[in-house]
Amino acid sequence: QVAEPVAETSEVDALDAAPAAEEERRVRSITVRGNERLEPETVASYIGLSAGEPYDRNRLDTALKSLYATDLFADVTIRDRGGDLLVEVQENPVVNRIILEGNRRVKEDKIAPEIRLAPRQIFTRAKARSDVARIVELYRRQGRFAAAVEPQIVPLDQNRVDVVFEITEGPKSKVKRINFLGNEQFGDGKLRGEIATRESKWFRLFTSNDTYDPDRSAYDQQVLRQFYLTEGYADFRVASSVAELTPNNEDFVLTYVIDEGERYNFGEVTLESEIRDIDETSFRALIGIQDGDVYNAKRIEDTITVLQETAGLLGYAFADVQPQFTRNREDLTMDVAFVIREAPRVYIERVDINGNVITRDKVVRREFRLVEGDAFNTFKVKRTQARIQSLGFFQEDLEIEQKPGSGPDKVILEVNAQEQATGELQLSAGFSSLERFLVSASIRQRNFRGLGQELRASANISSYSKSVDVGFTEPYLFNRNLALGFDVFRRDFNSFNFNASGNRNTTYEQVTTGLQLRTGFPITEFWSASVRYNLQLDDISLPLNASRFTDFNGDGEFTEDECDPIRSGRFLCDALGKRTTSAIGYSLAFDNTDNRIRPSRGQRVVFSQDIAGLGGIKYLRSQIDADKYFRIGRSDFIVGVGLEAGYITGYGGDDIRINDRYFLGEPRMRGFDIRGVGPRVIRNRYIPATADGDGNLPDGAIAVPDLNGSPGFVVIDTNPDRQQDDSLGGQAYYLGRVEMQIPLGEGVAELGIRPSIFVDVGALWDVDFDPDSQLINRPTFDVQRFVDADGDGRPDEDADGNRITETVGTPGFREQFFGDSPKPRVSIGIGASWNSPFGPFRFDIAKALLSEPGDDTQLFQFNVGTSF
Amino acid sequence: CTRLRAQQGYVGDEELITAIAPGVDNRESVERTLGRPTFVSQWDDGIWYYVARRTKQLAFLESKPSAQEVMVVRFDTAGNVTTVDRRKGLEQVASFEPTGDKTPVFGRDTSLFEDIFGNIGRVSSVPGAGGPPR
Amino acid sequence: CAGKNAADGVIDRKYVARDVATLYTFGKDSLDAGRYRQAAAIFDEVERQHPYSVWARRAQLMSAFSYYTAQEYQDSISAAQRFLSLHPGNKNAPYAYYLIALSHYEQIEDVERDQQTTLRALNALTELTRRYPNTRYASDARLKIDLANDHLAGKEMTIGRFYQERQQYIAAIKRFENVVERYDTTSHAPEALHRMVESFLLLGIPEEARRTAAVLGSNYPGSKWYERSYKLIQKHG
Repeated sequence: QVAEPVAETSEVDALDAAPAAEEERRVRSITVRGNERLEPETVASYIGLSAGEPYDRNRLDTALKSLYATDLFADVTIRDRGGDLLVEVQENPVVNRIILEGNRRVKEDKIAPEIRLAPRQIFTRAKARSDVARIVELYRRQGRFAAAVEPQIVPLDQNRVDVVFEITEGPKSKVKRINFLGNEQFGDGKLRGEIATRESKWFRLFTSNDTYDPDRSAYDQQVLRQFYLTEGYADFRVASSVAELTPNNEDFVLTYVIDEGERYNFGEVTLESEIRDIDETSFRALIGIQDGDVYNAKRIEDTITVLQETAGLLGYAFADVQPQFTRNREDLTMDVAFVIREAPRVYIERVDINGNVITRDKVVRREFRLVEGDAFNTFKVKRTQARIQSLGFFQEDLEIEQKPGSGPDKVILEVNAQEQATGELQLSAGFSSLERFLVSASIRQRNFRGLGQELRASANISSYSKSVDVGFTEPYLFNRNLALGFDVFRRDFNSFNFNASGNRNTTYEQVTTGLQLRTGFPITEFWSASVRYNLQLDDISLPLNASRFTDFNGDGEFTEDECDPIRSGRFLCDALGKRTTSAIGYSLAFDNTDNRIRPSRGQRVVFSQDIAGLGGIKYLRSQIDADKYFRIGRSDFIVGVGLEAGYITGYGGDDIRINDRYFLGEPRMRGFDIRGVGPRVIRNRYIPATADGDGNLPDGAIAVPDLNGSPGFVVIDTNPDRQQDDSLGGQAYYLGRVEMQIPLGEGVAELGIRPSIFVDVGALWDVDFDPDSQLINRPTFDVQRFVDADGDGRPDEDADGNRITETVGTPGFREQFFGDSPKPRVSIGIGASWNSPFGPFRFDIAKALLSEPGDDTQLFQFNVGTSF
Repeated sequence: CTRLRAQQGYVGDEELITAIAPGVDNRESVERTLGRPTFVSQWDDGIWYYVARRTKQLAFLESKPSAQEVMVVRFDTAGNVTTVDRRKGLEQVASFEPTGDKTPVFGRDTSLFEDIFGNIGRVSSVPGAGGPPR
Repeated sequence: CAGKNAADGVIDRKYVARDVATLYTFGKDSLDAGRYRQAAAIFDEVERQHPYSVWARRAQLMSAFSYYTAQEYQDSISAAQRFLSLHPGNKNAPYAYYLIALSHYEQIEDVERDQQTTLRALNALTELTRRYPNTRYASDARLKIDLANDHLAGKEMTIGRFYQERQQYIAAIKRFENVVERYDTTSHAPEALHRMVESFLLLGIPEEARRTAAVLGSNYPGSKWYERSYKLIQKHG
């Protein structure tokens, strides 16, 4: 608390009247009067005098001062009656309530924390005055210079008061015009662009920078100076800056008078090191400034940082690089000598981790690449910081702070973590073009028991698939660099495709239960390897009914091997039944990205192979994923270039079944429908052909002997909406992607919206399917039909009562095979991902520029509830 | 395949180390040239140890010392260097499993249930950090 | 272990306004009935409506105590601090300091977590023993100070063992030295000495291991830690 100046009228009258003789006087007694709330001993304890002690004028003065300093008293008088001190106090009232009136622009919760007066606190005039000033300051910060605050004191019983602050806000004082004088090299517009304050224009609705704020205009002067220094004007200075109020004293006109001075180039640039094992030649190469370049203060700063960081690599954490300037006015050059001051090699004294209320100490400490006692190394510190950020448990801008240790050669590394919520209890209902209506409940704890373990349990129910998935990962088993994880899952999945009328029909049911066991360990700082085992039992079934099966062996009921390829498609028939996949796999990964969750620099390459064969089907799958991230210049435009490629092949006679093949389309390749890329069979129906007015038939019509009992003509119905499209998948694919994230103002970024533009290139091909033999092209089919000769609407019956059937021809269909080619499909588009309150939301608009005949393109797609 | 290599402890400059001569140097001169020691003996501050160790570690196996040097500088009561003894190699490095026993510490053990749901939405109450105070 | 509130023993002067008394007793009843948060809120009301009554002073203390029992430690601390700012000379001041120290003490995290709260508890406890050394609160505070220090030593040991397990013996030794230097009166000292013997042997400095084992033997001759060190020295020393 600000000590209150003793300006009050404090009369110490009795003292002057005392006799001048300053002989030794002792306090005989102290009586306190006028105190209501405080006890006499409390008041006495502040005076600092007690009975029997000698006293004199200035002891009493200090007593008076200390009583006022407590802020407890409105008025104090001390009367000395020959040693009997009578202390009369009048206690300050206690605040009952604080009321703010008239604050429309600045809300209560903004003002309340600023005020020192609070209920049950002691009221003093000084506190009230400082609170008034503080509220006016708040309004001034908002650009309202005409704001005024009137404190009203409402006395209540028992020496209590209500404090009312009456606020008259007044209009916002805008900056009408900003003028510059003395600027020859750069125009007013350029300079206005550099500074923070903006002229108030009608179209500048949201900015608050167009109000006059003295601090901001001081900051503007600095910005101007820095700007000129980067343009070579070493002598630049702001001669004066004036803010005049316009006559209607609502707006301001700012005028900056500047003196640019001469433009300098770099003269001789040298480097000198007082540290023994820093050799000057190699460090000299680090300086990016050539003699004769235009003088630029920023490049000097950058060079200093580069030199300090490189010195840090050799263990000199506190290396101090100082530039020494010699200005030669004649040829307008500036010589710069970078001097690396003497500094001891620095060792890590302690690693302190604070703020971890949930996470255990070792979970952060084991990510450190430096240990107590090691020599300091900037690269390892940066690498550690990237690893801790990639844990995803703490604030995004977490930093490792370097604090001086107990000696000049000691440094303390400190992590001040602010833990974020790492548990996600997600109950999200969603709608996705992939699975229509989607309800998913999942609990995920990325920092289980603060041990960094990940526990995942999720259940998704959508109209087409139900799945339960439980997973657990321990990144450091027995405190070793060995990660162990397992997943157990069960998925009931109804596959679907688009039939003639364009809506979905369930073609087959797939029940998959399985488990996966995976381990992972580092090989070097960036290389790591992992080994895994999956066991998966698939049961693909079809409803055993007439629409799918034909009773080939005539035993009266349908069995799985009697699947009728015509009705349900041959790839489905050969996929029916139970299958076990028991595969072991390994991956080799290189990852030096700076942040695994939102990378902006570095690359990640993963090569993996899975061999299925220990019982069950046999295949070998190889896959490579490579991503590289970089920033364009110093801007926030982050570009990600990605390439994926995979190939799966059966061995030992097994061929690859449909659900082991790759599929390509939304959502991984945008601009195309689900499974929209790659080999497919398109089935068009035949429809009866009728001759037009003058007797000729539509071209392509085919004569058929029996169409509904009599010869006729059929023609192909080429309407794409009514054709049936069955994607076969493929054994080989590649997918390339270039995606650039567009930085937005932080207003939007806070909502978590990250827009990006992208180009996708990919292809899917190679399926063992022989178009000549396996395609069906049947203009008509023979179908059993009941006979109703007597037209009574009921099927006729023969002598012994069973119905009479006749075979008759109905329009059939023609299948064509498309898309089995490695030629690249290309799509370009714009999209945005948004962490909405109910789950990550991805939305893309992509146009397919290049596609093979038969591919299904799709312009617009969105997905919610699936995590990205 | 490749191993994770690491350098622990003191990083010395051969030239400087050989320059330390018993009887000539004292505490200040040794500290100026070599810097502070890795350890000062806990029981006799006249003995300084400079320890440098290179280790290698294969994936998740234990890290093993590959090379090591211990330099012991002894001072007399007046603070002058009496002996400098340098030991290279790993002969004196023992190898055994440290004991697993621990001195007990009091503390609340959180129930499994609290572990799962305990910290959903609860963040640390470090001043300045968001989130509800504990 | 917060002890009965000492204020009841004071014979207070006759007080005029009855409603303060009823309000106060209502607070007392809800406290006795176990509704601690409600009691704390009522005591705050007493102080707000009747700041000058003698009840106000006791109400402040009672509200701090109620918050404490309701485990609302932050509120208990601020209530007690407000009492001390108004009545530093009051004879119940030691009790207020004691409440503040206990509130910090109850929030101590386990050794694997951040120990800021332990440090805050330590400061509050030492403040109490410094200001009122011969009250019964101070004796309990001294006991808690030892426990808090033991807790801090426990954290150093956990980190030391962490480094030892990962074969980073230089770092481990520094942590164990820290325990031997700053927490030599805690229960972790013998183990720290033994861990130093182990680490020095594993680091290849047997003479230092022998010296440390000798110190361990002389200070804690009967302890299991010395037995282990003695065996190690025989085998590897």
